[in-house]
Amino acid sequence: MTIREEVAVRLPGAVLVAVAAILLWHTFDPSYSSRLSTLKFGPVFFPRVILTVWLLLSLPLIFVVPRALRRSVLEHRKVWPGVFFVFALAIYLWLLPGLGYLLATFLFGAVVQLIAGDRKPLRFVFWSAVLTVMSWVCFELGLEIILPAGKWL
Amino acid sequence: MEYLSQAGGLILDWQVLVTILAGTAIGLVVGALPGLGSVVAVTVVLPFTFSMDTVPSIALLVAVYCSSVFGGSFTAVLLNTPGTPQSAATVLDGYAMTRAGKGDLALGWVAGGSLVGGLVSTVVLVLLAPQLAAVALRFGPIETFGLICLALTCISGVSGKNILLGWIGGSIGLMLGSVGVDPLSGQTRFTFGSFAVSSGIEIVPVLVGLFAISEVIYRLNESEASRAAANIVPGFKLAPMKEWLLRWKTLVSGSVIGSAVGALPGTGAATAAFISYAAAKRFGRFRNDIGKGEPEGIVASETANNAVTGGALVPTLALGIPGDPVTAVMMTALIIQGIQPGTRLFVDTPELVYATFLLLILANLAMFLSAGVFSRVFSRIVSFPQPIQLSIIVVLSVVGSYGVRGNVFDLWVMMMAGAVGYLCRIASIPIAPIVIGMVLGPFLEQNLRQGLILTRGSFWAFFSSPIAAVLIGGAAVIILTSVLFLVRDWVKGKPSVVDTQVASFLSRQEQSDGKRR
Repeated sequence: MTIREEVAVRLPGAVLVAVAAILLWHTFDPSYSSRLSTLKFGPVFFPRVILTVWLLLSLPLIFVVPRALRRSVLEHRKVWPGVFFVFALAIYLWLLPGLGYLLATFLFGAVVQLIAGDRKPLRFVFWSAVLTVMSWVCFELGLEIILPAGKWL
Repeated sequence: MEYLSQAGGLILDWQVLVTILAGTAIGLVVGALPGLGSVVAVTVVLPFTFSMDTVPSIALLVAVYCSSVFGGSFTAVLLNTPGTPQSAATVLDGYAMTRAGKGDLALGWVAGGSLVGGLVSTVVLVLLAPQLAAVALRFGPIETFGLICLALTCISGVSGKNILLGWIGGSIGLMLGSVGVDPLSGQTRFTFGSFAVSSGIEIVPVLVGLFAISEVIYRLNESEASRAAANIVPGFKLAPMKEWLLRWKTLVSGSVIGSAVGALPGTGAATAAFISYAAAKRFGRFRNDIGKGEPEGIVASETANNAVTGGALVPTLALGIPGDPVTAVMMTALIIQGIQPGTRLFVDTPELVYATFLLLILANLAMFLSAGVFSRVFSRIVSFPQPIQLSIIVVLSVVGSYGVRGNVFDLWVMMMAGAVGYLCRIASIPIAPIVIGMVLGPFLEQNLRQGLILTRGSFWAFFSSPIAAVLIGGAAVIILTSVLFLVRDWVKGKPSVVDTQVASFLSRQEQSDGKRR
């Protein structure tokens, strides 16, 4: 196994340990010290217990990598469709308050179908429009859940 | 018997029967939409009850309540998107069955399990309402802490033999549940100055992200998953009676667990479903296959989450204490109708109490009958081409997550949870323990700290309560046993379940690559 692969299989353990350690360190922030006498077990008591358990369980992953984790990490995957999707979702969420639900969801629905491999523009535009309008009617009109409204729609 | 015949006269009215059918349809649709669930479903129909007579209004609420719990499992089974947290345990085997081309059978198991759970809990309600209410009152913070500890042991069960990674996932879930306002001091935690985080991380966007969005990313990335998705068989099919009889123990245990947990105020259907799932994983006839598309897992979860509907009405009707937010809304409707739930209800208007019991039975039957029609219509969605399917999942996920609080921040949480869920899949960290931890975490913390205040900081004093001692002791034994099994397998050099699955996936991949070449 190459050094790069060794690093890759130990990365999940290292990330988990780092996150737990940072959060545990954060629990000692002075803002959490409580003056209430009834709160001997203050607001960070429970998180400290959980974070300690998390840290102790994650630590061995750096040194002894379970076979399941090793194999799964070393599998060669296509990642770009997923990355494009998350990127498109982030842009959609960013545009949603400005464009409004109808316009933003129509565009996003079409993009999702495009990423998923649909190459027939008429079909994905049609389905995206149907889905957007139906979900809007169901939630906004039927259930009176107010969805974001934009300047135009 | 006299009250029962009076109650029968009250419900044998066309208006009541039409109301039950309408309520069932509304509950199924609203329950199936991710993020909405029973509270929204009951709240949506609440205004209609103001202009109705007493019995039809109870019929509407009961029908909506039962069917919304059931409806949440449709999207769980067909789209890997649990409509409600109580359907999260159903996803584990339900979606695996759908991927194996048995989606129609999975829906049959869901419907049958829900019917049995609902009917048994009604019988429990009829026979034991006052007694159960008295037992429920003996559950203070210490006993509830013990119960939640026992529920948490199902993390070992859903993690297969990869217990270490499962408990890491559970710890992540427990931590996510503690973000936001501390339930005892009111102080905010882990918000890092963000106002949006101060009200905590909502469970529904996390649930939708971990299951649905990560599934979309997975399907987009993995060609293997795309091929498996084409296997889906739409429709509704009941398994032969013989198959049901093979799983009778889980049907009974799930119903009893759901009824008992439902009677405890503040616990909820998700807790009941996970406890029942853990019990089936440990004692079920097909325990070794649970988690890989075994109907017993669906039965365990569905009987329990539907049995909660009857159980939750025990403290509501007998004591006037609502067991969960849904029964709180229902209690409001009853009070508006001039009925005061509580100990006097059984004395002053017994015919109304028995009418409620009969309505529960009718609502469960209507739910079962509607399931056939509804699942045929709904499962057409899964026979659409994959790009359309994925866009449906994404749009439903977005609207469902947004609809909980009407907050765009929840959509960012959903996206993050989706990315984390996908990374967890890559790192072989099971997703279900994260959800279990997040659902049970707030209850665990609140009851632990309340218990510590009661015992003046002594954890050992928890064992002075016999109920708590048995529950905590049982949880400790289960965890130790699973760790011992893990060590034994490791010493013998057996590959873990996940290893075997990954190995078979890799060999399939190699075979298909070979064919392509």
